[in-house]
Amino acid sequence: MVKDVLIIGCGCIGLSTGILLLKTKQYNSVKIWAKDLPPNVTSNKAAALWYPFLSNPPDKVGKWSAETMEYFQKHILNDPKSGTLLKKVNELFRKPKKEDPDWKPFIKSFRRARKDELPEGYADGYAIDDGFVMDTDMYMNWLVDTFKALGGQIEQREVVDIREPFIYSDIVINCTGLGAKELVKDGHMYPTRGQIVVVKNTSDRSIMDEEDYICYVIPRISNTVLGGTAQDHDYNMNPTKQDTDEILKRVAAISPKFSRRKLEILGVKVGLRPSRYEIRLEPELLQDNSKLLIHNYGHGGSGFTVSWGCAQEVLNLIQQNIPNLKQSKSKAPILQSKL
Amino acid sequence: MTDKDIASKEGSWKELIRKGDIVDSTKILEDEVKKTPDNSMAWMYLGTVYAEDDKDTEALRALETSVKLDPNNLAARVLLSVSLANELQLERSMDVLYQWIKRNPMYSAIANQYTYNEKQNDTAPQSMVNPFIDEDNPFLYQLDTIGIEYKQKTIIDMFTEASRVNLENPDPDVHIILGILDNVRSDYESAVNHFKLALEIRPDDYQLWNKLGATLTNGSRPQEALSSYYKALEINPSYVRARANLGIAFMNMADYPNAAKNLLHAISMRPNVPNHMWDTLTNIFLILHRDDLVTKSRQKDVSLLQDDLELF
Repeated sequence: MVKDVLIIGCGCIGLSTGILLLKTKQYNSVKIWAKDLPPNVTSNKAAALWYPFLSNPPDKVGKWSAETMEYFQKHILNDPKSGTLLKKVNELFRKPKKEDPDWKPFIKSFRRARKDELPEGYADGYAIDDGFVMDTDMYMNWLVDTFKALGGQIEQREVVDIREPFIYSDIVINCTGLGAKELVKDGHMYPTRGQIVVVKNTSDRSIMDEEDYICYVIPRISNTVLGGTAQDHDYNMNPTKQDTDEILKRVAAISPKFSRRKLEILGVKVGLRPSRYEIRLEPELLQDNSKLLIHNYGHGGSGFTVSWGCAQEVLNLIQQNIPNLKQSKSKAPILQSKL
Repeated sequence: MTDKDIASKEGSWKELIRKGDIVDSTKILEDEVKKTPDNSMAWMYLGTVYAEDDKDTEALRALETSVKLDPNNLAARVLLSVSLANELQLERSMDVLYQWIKRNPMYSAIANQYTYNEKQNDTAPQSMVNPFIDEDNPFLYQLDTIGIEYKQKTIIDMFTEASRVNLENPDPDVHIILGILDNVRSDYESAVNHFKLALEIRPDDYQLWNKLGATLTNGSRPQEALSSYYKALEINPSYVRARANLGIAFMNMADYPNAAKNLLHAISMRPNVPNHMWDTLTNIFLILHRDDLVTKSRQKDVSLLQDDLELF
């Protein structure tokens, strides 16, 4: 069956979903409508590192993360234009850590960090040797270019009523992130503010220390990102000096090589993570079962990490639900004929 | 001007409209009402041309003037009631027809047996007033509705009685009016019967074939409407309203390529296209996912779409 799909939202979730839909070649057209386009979307503010981070439910996030890793390895990492870079990841602990992460069963290459990998003062760590990072500005451009090259269309257009896109399409994917709070009145949505400091390259691997606070060093192609903050329900889009100082103090505590006087600061950015108690990825049938709405939002701090797994799930949900979709009889409004 | 002059002029206008050059006849009649602004017949023919061109707002204005200049111009009253019905000014449409029967020597006796409350002076334009809501007192809404239903029944009773005056030789005008009144109260089945009966007497009346088609479409029978529109267009190939209605019938059948084809055809027939036609065409292109054509039709320039005409 030939169908049209309309995606609302042009962050990494909307774009990844659009690209997978187009790759199936089963859809007549795939369009994105979005209030803001890259680089003015939250995704462009992300670090970003592939790592299951700040989102639920753990079992599904683990599965989607693994699928995303596989997709990157197969289709993206070898494309220099994608802005992605293979980097070892270490999550560090000051005290020995007995438990393995929830997502361990899904990531084959997970191992414990060796002693020689631990900076002074750290007793334990997780390691993923085939982890990777994305230079988000480059990666977002690559997503947009790939989507368009496959025939996708992007229109800057704010949707205020979820019924509006259904005038044009029977299948709509809601990838609005924090926008879902208003668009579908989801009271579970809230921002988790993140501030980052961009510096000149300084590290050969991604490092995280998140036991007592959020702290990370993520080296990318053209710079390194230092983070961060995770301030729930904070809508402040402006960087604060207090956060910058706090971030620099924390990274300096990881190792003296990240001390302030050794860093050259290039910029400071703020983004609002689209947080929810768990990712909402589910179908909803509307208008007497003639319209299919699939929600794909609430990815918190894991958007990039789960993006391709979630996109695959959207594809599955469309396939499962198309048979339940009743044909809408008349798409055009009935016009009065003149006597 | 002598009566003979007027008669010969009317003859020439009729001929003009029959020939179907809408651009030409619009211009000639617009000039004519400038020269003789108190000539009811000139305004009536101008109104006819506008209506055939699917421009009800303009038609309404010309026909109001025609009836105001000569309240006994019964033909203009029928045309005016149609324009009012198309513009959903239903109560005024009935009032205009009430004056038709009252002023018609053949049937005025019937009209005088009934009590019918006209809303106001029947030539006063009320286009800005919603007849169903009294803003000062919203509770009057229901009363007013009952009033309209009562009026509807009264006027249909009057014309039904008129239609029985001579059952051997039915008066087609009376049946056309009953068809209009049935449309006003959405009784499309009865309207179809009246129009069909009138068509037996006037098989070459292309406006009447269009009325039958529009009634069938509005009554959710667009498939049956097609042949009525084809008949109207066979008699008068440049009848824009029938062509546009044909497009709407295809839309109702969800046959969007044919809808686009006929609307585009209607649009390409003359230079001043009313906005509502462009909007309908744009909607069809949206449904067809032809974004390239949506862009073109939004510019409202038919030359941009000339090459696409044959695609459908």
